[in-house]
Amino acid sequence: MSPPDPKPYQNGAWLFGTILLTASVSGYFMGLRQTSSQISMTRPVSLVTADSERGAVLETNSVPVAVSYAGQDWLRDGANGHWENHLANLAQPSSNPVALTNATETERALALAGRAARRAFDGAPPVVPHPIAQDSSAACLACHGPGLAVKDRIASRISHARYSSCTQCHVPSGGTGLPASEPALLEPVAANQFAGVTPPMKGTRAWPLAPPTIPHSTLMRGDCLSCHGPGGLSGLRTPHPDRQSCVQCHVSDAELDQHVFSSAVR
Amino acid sequence: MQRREFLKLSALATASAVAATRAGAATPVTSTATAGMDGIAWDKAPCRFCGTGCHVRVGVKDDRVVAIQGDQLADVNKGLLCVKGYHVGLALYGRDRLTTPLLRRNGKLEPISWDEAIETISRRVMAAPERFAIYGSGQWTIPEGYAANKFMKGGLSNNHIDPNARLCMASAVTGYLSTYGVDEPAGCYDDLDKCDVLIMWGNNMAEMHPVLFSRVIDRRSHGEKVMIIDIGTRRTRTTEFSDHYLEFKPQSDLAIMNGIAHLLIKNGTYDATFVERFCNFRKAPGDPAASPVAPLLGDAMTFDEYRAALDPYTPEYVEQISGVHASKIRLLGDLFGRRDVRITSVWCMGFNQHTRGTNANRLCHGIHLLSGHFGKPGDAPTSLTGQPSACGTAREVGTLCHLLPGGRLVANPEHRRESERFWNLPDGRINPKMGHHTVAMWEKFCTPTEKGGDIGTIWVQVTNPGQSLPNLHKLFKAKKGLEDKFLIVSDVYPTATTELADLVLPSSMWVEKNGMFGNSERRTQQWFKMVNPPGEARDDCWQIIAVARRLFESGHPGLKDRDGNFLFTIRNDTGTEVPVWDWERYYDVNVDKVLFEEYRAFSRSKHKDLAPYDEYVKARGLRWPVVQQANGSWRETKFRFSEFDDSYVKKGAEIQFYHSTTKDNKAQIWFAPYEKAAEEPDAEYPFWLCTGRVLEHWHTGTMTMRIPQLHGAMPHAYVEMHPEDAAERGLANGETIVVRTRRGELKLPAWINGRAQVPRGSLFIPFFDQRLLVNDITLGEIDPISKEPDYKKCAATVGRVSVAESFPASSLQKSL
Repeated sequence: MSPPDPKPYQNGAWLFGTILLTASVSGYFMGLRQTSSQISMTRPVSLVTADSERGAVLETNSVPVAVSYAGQDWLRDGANGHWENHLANLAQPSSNPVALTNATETERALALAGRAARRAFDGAPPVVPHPIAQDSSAACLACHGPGLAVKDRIASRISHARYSSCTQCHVPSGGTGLPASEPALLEPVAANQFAGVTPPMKGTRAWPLAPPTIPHSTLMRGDCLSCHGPGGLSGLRTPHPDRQSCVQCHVSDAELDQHVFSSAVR
Repeated sequence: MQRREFLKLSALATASAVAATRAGAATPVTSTATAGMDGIAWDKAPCRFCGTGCHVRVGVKDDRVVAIQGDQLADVNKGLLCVKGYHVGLALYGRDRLTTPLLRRNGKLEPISWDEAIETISRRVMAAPERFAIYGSGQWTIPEGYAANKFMKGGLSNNHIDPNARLCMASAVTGYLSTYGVDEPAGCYDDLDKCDVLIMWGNNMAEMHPVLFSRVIDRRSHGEKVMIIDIGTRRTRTTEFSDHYLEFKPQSDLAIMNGIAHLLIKNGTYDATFVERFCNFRKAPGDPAASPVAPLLGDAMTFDEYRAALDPYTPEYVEQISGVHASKIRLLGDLFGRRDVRITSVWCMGFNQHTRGTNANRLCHGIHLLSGHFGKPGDAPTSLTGQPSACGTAREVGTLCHLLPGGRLVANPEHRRESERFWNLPDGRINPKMGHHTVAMWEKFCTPTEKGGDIGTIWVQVTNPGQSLPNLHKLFKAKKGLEDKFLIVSDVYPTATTELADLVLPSSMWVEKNGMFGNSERRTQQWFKMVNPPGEARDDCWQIIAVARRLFESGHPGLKDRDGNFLFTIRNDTGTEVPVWDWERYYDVNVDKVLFEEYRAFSRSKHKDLAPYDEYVKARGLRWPVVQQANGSWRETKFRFSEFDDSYVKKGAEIQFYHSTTKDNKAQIWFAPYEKAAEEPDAEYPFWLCTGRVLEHWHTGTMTMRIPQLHGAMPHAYVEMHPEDAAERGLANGETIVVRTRRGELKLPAWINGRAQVPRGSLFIPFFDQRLLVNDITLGEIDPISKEPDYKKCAATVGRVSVAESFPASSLQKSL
């Protein structure tokens, strides 16, 4: 079987092309004329504006507001004529395993108070709220190595795994665990009037929904998920624990992290 | 803007720019750190506690310390601290800080003015200058110790000044001096990064030098291999990280080291070339009294004599003495015999607080030299110190009773002349007779004057002898009731020492003043005053200068230099004298800088060269000798005596001990026999009693017991004992039991299978607890060469409290 004669199609295509070309060239020049006659820019629009000016610019700008594509329904016809462009109507991905919300201010304050109670100041190594094996760090890592959560009891994962002598920095708050035969011996020698720096406020955001920056030093806090992961205190947990590369979006502060070398030592 | 106005403004701007330039060029008097957005100003300081010398960042807000961080750029600690270091800022804020001078009247300490206090001291000194003594500290800053040393030796011609460092590292000093001819380690902490084998000799590094210990064990987290050997008398947290644990009987460390030397020679694995080129052999002198330095010089011995002396120390014989299995002795002998591994030895109080402490130090240097494990990164014998400036202030400034600054001896006429020249003193001002060392000083102070107690007044600064001296009944508490004795104490909190003080002076501490420390690895560190001291607390250095000035004004001739000027004439940058004895004017000038620049001149003769003050302002410490380079920069030295790093070693020499006691550029390998301890367990007192420290508390706990996090973790002292020993006596864990020695008794809780495990027949009690003073019952016997007491070994017994109470009183405290 031979292929069908292409000629009738070729003639039709040539005719259609000519019409399209003529229409677009004349349309282009008409459009240019129309634009120059209708738009009169009286002042330049700056690319970056302060928040406070943003609304004002939109209202007072003499640039005509373009009709949105979705609003040009009168141009459309056919099957898509009444299609509406709402993000909410887009198909949702099926893999949103943990639909969590951000912690409330109350939950967050509670978590911070809990943290503060175990630290002399923000940045101090927390004391251990339970008795420990006095002679070895191996027992610490049994739970705190991988991290552990049993109902509301949480053993947070070590946030600086390269250091393995746990008791060098973390000491129990409740004494040695030795039965106290002389309660008087447990009395403090004198009270302490130190008032340490408190936890930082939230990180900064460029706009309300931008990822916040890290408000604290990342020294010894290299594993974000140890506090902000599912095993962290509820008020500090990330609403998106499925994402693992935290610093992809949340950046630390060079000054807090002692990376501003020039001013670190005079 | 009017033209006139414009001119005025620009003139102002120019003037302030000039002022700013001047301020920038001159050394600041105190911290100039500026606050960030959160209102916190950060500045650098070395940690206040141990001799490691970690660098911390101190956060200050509204004239108070509010936060501490490890300094990531510091060589020493690389951002890490221990639990004490993280909480060091809290040490300033115990509620009972001393804030006003107190004088004891009718048995009670009552507030007086600073003027009265200074006058009281100056009258005591004036009345009997030769009966006056200063007991100082390895926690003195370098300028403080220097001022006290100059005041005593240069001003009062009185050598009765000794620091508490006598109690912790005097044996290390005599070990270094008699081996290398000059004090302090040849290596540095970099050895910890390079060694293949780390041997800890009687050293619980995980608790006492935790940051240095982590520096080694963290290498394992990076996939490096390092063998860790713990040679100790009890299982500790350090043991948990160790590949080998060799548990030896107290005092037998001497035998173990001789056993290693024996094997090196017997197996022919000693480094013959190294020994031939760089070493001599030495033994105890026939006549130790021949001269003050005779015990340090010793007598020569040949290699054959040395070999013969070691002959008996077979592994089996060493096992018999030490209880360490012969195979483990062979393991050590084999390791030292290998040329393909680098071995670093570290020790601290285990060797030093030892009636043969000098010998223990010598033997350890000896096995390193004999095997050639010396002078390469990772191959080093290194002593660690327990105080932040035991090296800087006690050893280098020479605040010991026999020393002058820069490693000079009071007994040496040439050294005295040099010091008199540096201090611009008339000839012969410095007394050639050594003063009383610590134990002698306190013994004389606690002895009635009519019975030869020739010390009448002691001024204690920055230390707590009422808790840290051994055998306290004899050496401290006996002061009570001696009416003509007068105890002056400068401190920040009430202590066991202030309990017997007649005059208490409130001091500034740490970042409440300018300061400089010198750590265990020869690193000199500087910091600025960042906050004001509380109440009327004032700097220790000011206290010394104020008393010196009062004596000068009262006509004491010693406080005048050769030209009749005051000994502490302090001038500012423009050359104008500043009356720094007036507290209001003390910070008109950086007194630390002036004193340090003066002291620096002393540092050259033993090649311990110090850089100008401003270089330390810029650095996180520098290790001496700091040598100026052709381009004017200052270069620190990591490895002394090694040609590749030490610029004082002759080209081609490879290794040169340029202060050799035998004047031939060689080090001395000493032979010293195993000898029994001064007091060993017997039928009546069947236990060894050892004392020591714990992670949470620093020394006598005056600072750390006031820090809630540290107190919370370790609220009181205890006695560790073996479960079988406890079971035999029916003693329960936590039960208050009595520990008795020939000096007295102490009741405290027993801790069985606690943080550390002692072997059978051993007890351990930490000394941090003021309420449970273990030094009431320690021995106080000293090393004959270093005069350092042994706190680690004496004989004791234990019992139930009820049984103890039934002992007749005469059997207790026999020695009193």
